[in-house]
Amino acid sequence: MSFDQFRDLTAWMDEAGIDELELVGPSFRLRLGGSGLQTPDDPAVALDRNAAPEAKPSHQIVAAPTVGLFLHRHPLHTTMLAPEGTRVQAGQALGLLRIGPLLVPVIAPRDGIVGAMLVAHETVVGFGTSLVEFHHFERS
Amino acid sequence: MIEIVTTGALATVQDRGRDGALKWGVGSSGALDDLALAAGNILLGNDDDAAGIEIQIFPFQARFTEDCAFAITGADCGASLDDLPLPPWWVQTATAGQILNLGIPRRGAWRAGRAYLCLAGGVDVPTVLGSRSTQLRGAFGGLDGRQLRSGDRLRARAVNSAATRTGFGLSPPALDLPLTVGDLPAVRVLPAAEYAQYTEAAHHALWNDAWRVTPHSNRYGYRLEGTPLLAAAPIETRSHGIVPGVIQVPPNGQPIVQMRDAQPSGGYPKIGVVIEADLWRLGQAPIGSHIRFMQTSWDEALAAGEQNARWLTEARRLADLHSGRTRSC
Repeated sequence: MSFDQFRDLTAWMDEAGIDELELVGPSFRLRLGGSGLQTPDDPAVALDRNAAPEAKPSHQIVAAPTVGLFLHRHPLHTTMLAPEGTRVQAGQALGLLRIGPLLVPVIAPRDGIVGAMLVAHETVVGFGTSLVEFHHFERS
Repeated sequence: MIEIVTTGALATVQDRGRDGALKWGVGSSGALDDLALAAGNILLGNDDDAAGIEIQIFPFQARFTEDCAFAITGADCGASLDDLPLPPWWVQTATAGQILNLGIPRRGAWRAGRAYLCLAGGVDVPTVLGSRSTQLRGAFGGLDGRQLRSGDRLRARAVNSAATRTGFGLSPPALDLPLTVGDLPAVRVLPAAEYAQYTEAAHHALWNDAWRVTPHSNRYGYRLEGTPLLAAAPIETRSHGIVPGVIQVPPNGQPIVQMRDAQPSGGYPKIGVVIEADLWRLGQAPIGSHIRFMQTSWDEALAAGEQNARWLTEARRLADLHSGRTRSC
């Protein structure tokens, strides 16, 4: 598969609103993620050789569970709920989506480490918008 | 069911109050921050009259002896469930054995002194004279009419509460319905019966001083400190009925705001009354903090009550929608 084909794939994913695509073969794993939010300096392509038998870092994108105003911090707080690099537990709030007085959490899908915030504090986002990069260790 | 592991003094079971009991000489009791208690009940889908626990001395620790949905509101106490940090004003489900920790209230965007712990269905204590609120003076209501102690066990009234969708929160009304003068929290006040008998200097001080909440402030009343409020001539009044919010002026001129556990009658002259819609703001003012009084009108006082009600209705609607609950009313 050529890099041009990767670009086509990510463009199709964009059109279809798909945030992440993963292909696993006998000797490779291909993951395409969040193409719409990537910059040319930060290619949307991650190609792993599935060889290491021990735990290895892996990343995923946490998406908006609902529409709302994306908050990096609780309205009462001046510090972020989970700044980049924070080690969090599954279920812990990484950010919040505000709808009127309601605050819906954007939660850590598993135990791991918070990556970059992909959307600025107090941005209105739609369902499924990629919000936070998330790193975890996968056992293979 | 929960078991209180650690509590300071004066944690009590409170609901929205024993309304209509003043005619029997029984004070109203009820949560000092009625909006925070109502928000906790909304997060859980509880009825409006469900009881929660009012906590005012920290740290506080409770162990869940059964799976149970709970909500924490009021002061931001850096709550955690075992080692999972919980955002303020949050509903969560605990599993049996987990421990809820509330620390010393944090000074953030809103400085508050009282936290509320609500349980699915409300705290299961008997209703006395139409309320589950603890009436400390009469030693009835709540849990055996007394403050909570370590080792106390309280049941939640809801069964199968673990099936309720939890893990979301509300933005505190202190942020959505702010009221400050300068940097200080304010409460709106209506002039009361003896207002006109006070000097111009007293009127000026009432509306312009930053009133300090002294350590002699509690659920019965808040003793404030500032420029002494003096009457133009001595005022003699007989003991008469009073309600929470009344600002009495004893002979030393330092005002006392009657709170939820106030006696139903008193004899001091009344310079004003904090409107019902703002009593929660005063109820959250910590000892040592300062507050301001803002003069208001009957119409504005009623509008403020309606504004609170609208906030609660919207919070209820969104919380029910999010958690997939349907309500018959």
